[in-house]
Amino acid sequence: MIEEGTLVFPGDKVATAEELLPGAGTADVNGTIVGTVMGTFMVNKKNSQAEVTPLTSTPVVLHPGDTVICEVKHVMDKLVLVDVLHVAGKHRHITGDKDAAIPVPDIAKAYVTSAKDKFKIGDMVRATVTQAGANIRLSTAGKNLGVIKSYCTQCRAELEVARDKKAELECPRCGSLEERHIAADYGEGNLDWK
Amino acid sequence: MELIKDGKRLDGRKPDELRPIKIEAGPLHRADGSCYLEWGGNKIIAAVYGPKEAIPRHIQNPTRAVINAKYNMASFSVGDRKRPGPDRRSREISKITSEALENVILTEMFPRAMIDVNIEVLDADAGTRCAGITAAAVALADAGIPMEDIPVACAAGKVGDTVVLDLMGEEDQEGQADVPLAIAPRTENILLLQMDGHLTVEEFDRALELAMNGCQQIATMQREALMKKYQSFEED
Repeated sequence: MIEEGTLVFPGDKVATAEELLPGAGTADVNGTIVGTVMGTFMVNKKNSQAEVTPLTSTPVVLHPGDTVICEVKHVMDKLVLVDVLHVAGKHRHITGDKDAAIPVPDIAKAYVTSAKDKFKIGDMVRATVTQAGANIRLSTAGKNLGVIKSYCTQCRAELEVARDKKAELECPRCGSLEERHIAADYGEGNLDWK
Repeated sequence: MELIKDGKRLDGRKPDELRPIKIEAGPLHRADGSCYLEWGGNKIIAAVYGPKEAIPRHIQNPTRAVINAKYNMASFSVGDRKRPGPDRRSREISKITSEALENVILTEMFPRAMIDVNIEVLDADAGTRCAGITAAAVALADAGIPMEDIPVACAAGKVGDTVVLDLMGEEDQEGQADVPLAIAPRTENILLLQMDGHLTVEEFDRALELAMNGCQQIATMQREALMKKYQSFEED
């Protein structure tokens, strides 16, 4: 095993399979633990794992708890289908499939009869990841979560927060009043706000 | 044309000597990883994007990522203007580059994803496929793509009945054989091996030995280039 804190490159031998298990940034190649990214070698003593803390940027993989920005693609009564576009605080493409679903119980803390009352196609939504992997599930139950940008269903103008309490949003062009599950910072365009 | 005179080649190199090489990691800020490489008269830029969602969807593999390397020669990269766009040769090089890189990248970590590797030849002077793979490898490491090793490539060949390392333009055109080789330098596993021309078994073994040694020298330069970029980051 090499010394902790050593700079390693992909392919550098850091330990053997008898000494440590492969952890983040390492792989077991025929009994040899090698670094897979450029970074600093560390030993996770709790799990007996060899780890490399990367110096480079790393691919963006969705994990439960991540805050994401997505676009609504389809709305059904019990489910909203979205396309995940951006992970807050990350500036790289999202790895793999980007199709996700928001089940109706996860839309808000309060009871929601139909998802069609809270989202419309084309809305930009901030959500958190509750399940990653092959089937991505999101939740918008939270103060900072929900629609951050939406368009009028009558004239497609960008909706603004309604001045009176008759509805959540109103259209500055045609005056249409619309309901959405909006985030606390609706319309401010904070893509990296968590 | 006499390609070897008094044991020296046209540019004054010994048979087992590489051309001057300069590698810079991360010159492109909008790419996830990039590399600029000068190798003799070759000038090559490589950029890596991804892993990202593989499109069109029918190319997605549910168990691993797809490597999509694209090798392209600029129209001004050669003496006579090259007709822009893909051709038989560039499609072949793109394919063999993808296959060489696939063997070291841990593709199973990114199912349904695609990694784009764009190799742009700005100036060509023989050995561009080897230079392209070498630059792409640095760009992949710069992008933080997990790999078992940093692949490296180098060619050997036969010129004036002598087996030589790293053919230059005139040697490539007038020479008797060309053997491009790409390896994973830690294990010396061969990722790419081609041969154009005729060599005896002994000559082939010598060419392979020269190319392996050349690859190990270039592997050191790749690491130095990556270290230079990230050391300057730490100093800032």
